[in-house]
Amino acid sequence: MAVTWHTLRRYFTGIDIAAMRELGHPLDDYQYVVQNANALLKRLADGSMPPPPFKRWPQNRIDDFQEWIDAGFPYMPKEKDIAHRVTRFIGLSEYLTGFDNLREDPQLATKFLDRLTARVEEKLGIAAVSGELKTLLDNWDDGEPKDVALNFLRHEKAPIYYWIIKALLHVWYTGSFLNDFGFPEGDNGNPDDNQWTDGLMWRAGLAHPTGYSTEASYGEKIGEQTRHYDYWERSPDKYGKHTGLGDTARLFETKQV
Amino acid sequence: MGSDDKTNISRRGFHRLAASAAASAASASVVAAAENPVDHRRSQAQRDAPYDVVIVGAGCAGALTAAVLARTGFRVCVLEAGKSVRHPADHVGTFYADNEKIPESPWPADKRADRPRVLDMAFNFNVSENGELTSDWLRKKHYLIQHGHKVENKSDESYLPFNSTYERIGGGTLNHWLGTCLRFTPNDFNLKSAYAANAPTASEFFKNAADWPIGYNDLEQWYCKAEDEVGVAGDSEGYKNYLGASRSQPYPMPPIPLSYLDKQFKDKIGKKKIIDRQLNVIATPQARNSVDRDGRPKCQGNSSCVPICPIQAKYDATVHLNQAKAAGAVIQFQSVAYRVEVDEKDNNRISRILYKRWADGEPVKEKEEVTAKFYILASNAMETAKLLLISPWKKSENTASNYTCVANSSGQVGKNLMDHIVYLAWGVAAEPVYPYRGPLSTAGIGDFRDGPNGIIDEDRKMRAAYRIHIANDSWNWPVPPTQNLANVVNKLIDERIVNLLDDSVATDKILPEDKTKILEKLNITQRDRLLTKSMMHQGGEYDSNVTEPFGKRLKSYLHDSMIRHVRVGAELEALPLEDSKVMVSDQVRLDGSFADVPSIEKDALGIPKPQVQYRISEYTKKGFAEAAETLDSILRMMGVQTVHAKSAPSESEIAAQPDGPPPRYLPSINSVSPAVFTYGSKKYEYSGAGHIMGTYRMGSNPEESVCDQDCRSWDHENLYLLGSGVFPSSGTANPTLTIMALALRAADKISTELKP
Repeated sequence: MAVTWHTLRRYFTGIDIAAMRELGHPLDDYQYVVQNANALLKRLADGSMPPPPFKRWPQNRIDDFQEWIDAGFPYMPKEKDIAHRVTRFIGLSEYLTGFDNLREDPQLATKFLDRLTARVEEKLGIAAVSGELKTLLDNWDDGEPKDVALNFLRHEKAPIYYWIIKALLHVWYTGSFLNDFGFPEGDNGNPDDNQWTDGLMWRAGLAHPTGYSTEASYGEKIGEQTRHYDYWERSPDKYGKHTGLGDTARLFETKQV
Repeated sequence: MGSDDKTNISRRGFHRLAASAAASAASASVVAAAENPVDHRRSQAQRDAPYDVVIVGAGCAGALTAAVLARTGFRVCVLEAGKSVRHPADHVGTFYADNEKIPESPWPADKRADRPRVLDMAFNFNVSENGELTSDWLRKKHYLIQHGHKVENKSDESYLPFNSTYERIGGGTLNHWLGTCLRFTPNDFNLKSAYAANAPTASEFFKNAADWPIGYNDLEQWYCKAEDEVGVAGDSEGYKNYLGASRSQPYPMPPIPLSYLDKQFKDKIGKKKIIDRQLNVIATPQARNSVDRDGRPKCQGNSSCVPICPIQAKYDATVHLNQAKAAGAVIQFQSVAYRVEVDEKDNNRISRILYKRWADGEPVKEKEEVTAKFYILASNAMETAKLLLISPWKKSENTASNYTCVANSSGQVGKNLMDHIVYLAWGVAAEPVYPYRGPLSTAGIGDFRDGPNGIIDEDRKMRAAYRIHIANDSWNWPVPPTQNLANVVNKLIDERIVNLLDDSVATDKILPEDKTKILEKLNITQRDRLLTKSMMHQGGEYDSNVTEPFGKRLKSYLHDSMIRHVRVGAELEALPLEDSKVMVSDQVRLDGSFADVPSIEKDALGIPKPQVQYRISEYTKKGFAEAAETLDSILRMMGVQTVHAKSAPSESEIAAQPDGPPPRYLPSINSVSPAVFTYGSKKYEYSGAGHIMGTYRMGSNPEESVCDQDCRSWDHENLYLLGSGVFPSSGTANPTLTIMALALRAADKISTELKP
């Protein structure tokens, strides 16, 4: 899949974003990064950003950045480039999770679908991948929701559908799967993918993932004075402010523009 | 394209991030290499030693002492058992990827410098590979051998699991500490004379209690220095004479601001009373930058202080380790000390330390040695005690091992093992508190620690004191979010399935027996449904007949629940008990050899493993029971309907109230912890604070203590023992700041002696 904004935004760490946000340079803001793309690329390439002790970007990431600029700053993949199964998976996921903006990031959906597929194969066997998982993706919206759900429940393979739906929700909400005893199992995906920070639970809770805050202080003008405060002193809003993620984060509610 | 101003991004923004690396360089530049001092009172061996000081352990005491002594110009060598640790930014990816999110998650582990893990204590404790409990299996699997009742399958609770862990890496356990920097109260130093001596009926509690050989005023200036060295952010006004503890200096930084959640607590419970005691919510002093300081940035509220602050706004001991290195100290990682040797002809001075050095892809160097004028053992209270216990000094007929170990003429080494056990309580508040934002804890309640202004607290004669903390990280400690959320998701799916089936029966789409069959097939039991119902009650108004689509219902429920999650905890004072102790095999020979003794259980390097026999005093248990009631009251004030506890309700309790009000207590999910004791008619589950204390206590009498008021061994004049192992009593504060104050005091003493 081509490099898009959602590829790049994961390359900036929470540390990078938080430090720069305070100075008015929001690296998690698509518009800002588009407007400053060449300057950012230059600094990343010459190693002056991020400075020691933080690691330089590896060359493949710098190449990705260049490719993104050359491609005209795509926000997300074109529809024709998204696999049909991913599109179906996104639809089912939006229905089950209650978040209607998962379609903005098909790359994350692809990763979660790949992990879910591997998990189904590991726990239920390869036949369940081409069988129940595929049936679920193909048919989840084939009729009135209640009737569809009842059909799945009455099916002799109901426990498998039940298992898959739970696993799907677990990976979207928490970035991980549970074992048979109710404990998280395996890992949260590749550390470079940073899937821990993508869990929907953080958005549901109006919070930032632990270890991943991207905002710190705010300055508030009171008359001639500026009063500074830390974001955790105030209550957060549904659009990201004071969540620790800033108001350019992917949101609990889709902001109406 | 942006303007120059906009595009000149990295200069200012990353300047302060990069500064942590610069900090060590800065400190190096101010150090002038001093001429090696010569002490003519020392023996030839001492004078010829290549180092002035050898320090075992690169944790909070070792790193700070190394930095101070190296900055003064002394030749310092630090032996650290484990690997070096880089800037936390390099380790945070490991934290993200690790599902367990336990204190040990981000840090480099290696069997050659093994350590206990939180999960050893919790999940694996009583389950062997074949599902049975066998102490043999546990002894092989775990580094720390426990003799608690669950391990040995004893029915009595004489000995309990020790529920705290530690790190063996550069910077030690401070890599995953919270950062709380409370001072002890003046009465904490006088437990015996202030409380034990006047206790009306509880003298049995205090049988082994001791006063410290120093008082608060002796340590006050060193507290100030320690606060400056680590950088403590605190409320100087609020802590002015707090619980009788005077301050000669303000905190170096203003306090970390209270969280929105703290303010809700302050509004709801501030100035109220529990057990006739006024509650005051006060900002917690902490080693966390509230402003950019010493080359480290201000806190960004990552809410992951335990186990990692990604930006190093939280102090950790690598700060001083880097300073020590920059000042010329030799920091030798992957070097595991296994014997301290004594020269009896040289007035029983320590003559050398033997260690094993390991490296990936290379054979272990089995017998390395290092010599110095002074030796400092600065590992934690577990590892230092172990090292002493496997280091024979002289023959003895009175011990099982037939020898007296180094520094142990008092017989106290290894004994009096203490921890501040923790009671956790959590629930769903009536109003939103918005957790998971800001540092893990920014405020607490200290009113149960001691009497106001230092007056004697009559209650403390009868039960342990305790401090309450307010958590900003939701239920993360008892129930990690992945586990919590995934299980909530499961319950909501079950709820929706049951509703759908009820609806289908009502509209004649299926027969009632079809519903029963489907639920059986999915293994959704009546018990599950009742627990789900109870759980849903705490999420606000419960309407099981909701009609909104499943996903919207799930999202709104999780939102409504998560933003109201609260947790509080209480850390309990401990009492020293002689048979609560660190031990090693008694098969180590008088000459210190153990390699060819098969009955000794050894780690990957062939060094005897530490063993623990742990007890909790009745005094602490009594305090724990009161703390449980207090936290229950506090949560009620916050509007929590159902307090979570770790013991599951019985089937009969659940069956008794299918349609009644929600139960007051709910089980945590899948709790299998063996860390449970009985007090009165109730069972209580406790957590560990990671505060390992007491195993080489200081005192004013060599017959009853291991070291003197300066942390110097009574038996060996060139041996110092640092860390919370020297604490004669646990006090009511987390130990780190006191460890550091004592370390600075000892370093000053050593400096004086080393100067020509």
